[in-house]
Order: sequence, then structure tokens, then C-alpha cells
Amino acid sequence: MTKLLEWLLGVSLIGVAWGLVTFDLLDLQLPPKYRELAWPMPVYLLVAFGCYSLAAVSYRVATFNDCEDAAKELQAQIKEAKEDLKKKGLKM
Amino acid sequence: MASRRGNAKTGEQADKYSVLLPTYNERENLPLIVWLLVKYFGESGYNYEIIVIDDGSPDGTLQIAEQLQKIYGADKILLRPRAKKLGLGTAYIHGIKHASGNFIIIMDADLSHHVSTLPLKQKEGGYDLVSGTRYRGDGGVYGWDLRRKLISRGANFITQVLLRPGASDLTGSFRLYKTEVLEKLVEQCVSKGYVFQMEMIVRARQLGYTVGEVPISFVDRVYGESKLGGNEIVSFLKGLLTLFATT
Repeated sequence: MTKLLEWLLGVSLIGVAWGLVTFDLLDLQLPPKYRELAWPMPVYLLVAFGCYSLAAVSYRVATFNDCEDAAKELQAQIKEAKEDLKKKGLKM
Repeated sequence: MASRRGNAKTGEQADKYSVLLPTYNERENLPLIVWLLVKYFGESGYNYEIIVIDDGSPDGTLQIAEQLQKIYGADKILLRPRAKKLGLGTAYIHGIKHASGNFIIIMDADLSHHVSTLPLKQKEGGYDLVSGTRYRGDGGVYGWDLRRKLISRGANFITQVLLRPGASDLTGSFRLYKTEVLEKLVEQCVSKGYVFQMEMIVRARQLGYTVGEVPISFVDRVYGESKLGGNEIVSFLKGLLTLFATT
């Protein structure tokens, strides 16, 4: 199953569950509290996911390593490489 | 008497690492990459070969490669050029045909990676595939402004949510594959460019291959700026959605 189909399946299942509870499609006579809680759930979940996304990406940007040492090391190695290759006869 | 010596290198000599270097206009970078590879493989004692796959570069990359072959030997530097720019997937297929190693290492022409971390990690876990990541451990980048970091992390976040790939960095191209694994994957993957790299890991996980990760320091190309403009972003999203719908 492709990821797209997995998502569609998941969303459908949640949608059905939500519909069943909110609109009492199976005539379960659930207490009104449940229905009131279920009704805005999709929006709550979307907002929660949005907040999580913002937080996660912000955190990851903030903690994105800057490799100063690697850059310095690379610059030094490039110098060394050029000299060594010249010695070995490379004509750039 | 062929006894088992305590020297670890005895076992390692059975393994050979073929480094595939698809090149297009890398006249300046190629000697440096080769020098670094020779240095790190030499230090580590691993058996290796470097296969340069030049796609008819107009800037004389092949001529430089020939000089390097004279310097380091035709057993270490193999030249398998092609007539014109034919794309990454076919470059890998072409390279594999000429590779004598049981492991293949793929790297971008970015002069940033300590190549010996790949075999080391592979041995640690017997992985089918080892991928370099900028996002974990002490992996990272150099010289990136806030905008670029934001786009990178944002794109990676979306990728993780949509594809759940089981690897932290999909667009990197510093990887080690078991030769037979790479052969199988290249057969299956249909995308182009870096989306191809992403597809390789996604399919690898689907086929049940084990993926290990090593942190890498991604220092921008020394002789040229990597671009990350609107076009790149759009084509990335297109590629991502294609993978989402097809894998």
C-alpha cells in the first residue's frame, strides 16, 4: 500500500469514527457530552498538529549544528591536497 | 600457515569498497576528492577503488582524471566515462558493472565527508545501507543562513510526516550500499536527480533492508554555491508528492 493510500485509509477511519460519535449514526444514544467533545475534534487535532510542527521545526532549526571545525579542517586539507598533488605532477 | 591473526585488518581485506564518482564539470573538485579518498582509505587500511564516471564534461574533467590515474595507479582510479550527461541512475548502473567491490560508496562532489565513517558504521551493524545525515548526532552544516536552515528542516519535516522513511536525512548522497542491494534498488527506482536518492532509501526500507546512519558535516562546495531558490523548492515538493503517491 502506498503512503497516500495509508493516509486515506487512516483519515477515513478517523472520519467514520468521528461521524459515528458526532452524529450518532449508529443510534448509540451516547451522552451529549461525548458528542459535544467529538464535534470540534478534527479542528483541535489540526491545530495541535500545526503547533507541534511549528515547535518541532523551530527547535530543529535552532539546534542545527554549525560545523566550524569541519570547515576549517577541510580548508587546511584542500591546501595540503593542492600542494601534494602539485608535487606529484598534477597540472590543474 | 594461514592462521587467524589478531590483526583486524586481515578480515577487512576481504571487503572492497568501490567509490562511484559521477562527474560533470568537476575539474576543480575532482583532484581534491580523490586526494581525500586516497588519504582516508589509506589511513583506514580498507581496500578500495575509485570509479570516475564522467558524462562528457566540456571543462576537461576527464583529462584531470587521467592525470590522477597516472599518479595513483589504474588499479585504484578507474575511468569509465560516458558520451553525454545521462543522469544519476544510469551512472550508478554503469558504475556497478565495472565495480569489483562488495560495497559501493556514493558521494556527491562535495568535499565534506570523512569517507571511512561509512565502512566503520556498516561493520558495526552489518547494515545493507549506511546513509550520512546532517540532522542527527554531531552532523551539521557550515555557512548556512537562517533561511536555508529553515527550508531544509521544514522540507525534512514534511518528508518525515508524509513518507515515514526511517532515516533522518533523505536528500543526502553520501552513502554506502552492499553491491547487490544497490543493484536491486537501482532497478526499482524511477525518479530523477535527488528525488532518486530519496526514493532509494524509501524503497530500501520497504524491501526490508537495514539502514544505518552516520553524522556528516556538510560543508558547501568550495568552488560553487548550492542554490536553493523557488524552483528547487517546487521541484522538491513535486518529487515528494510523487513518492508519497507511488511508494
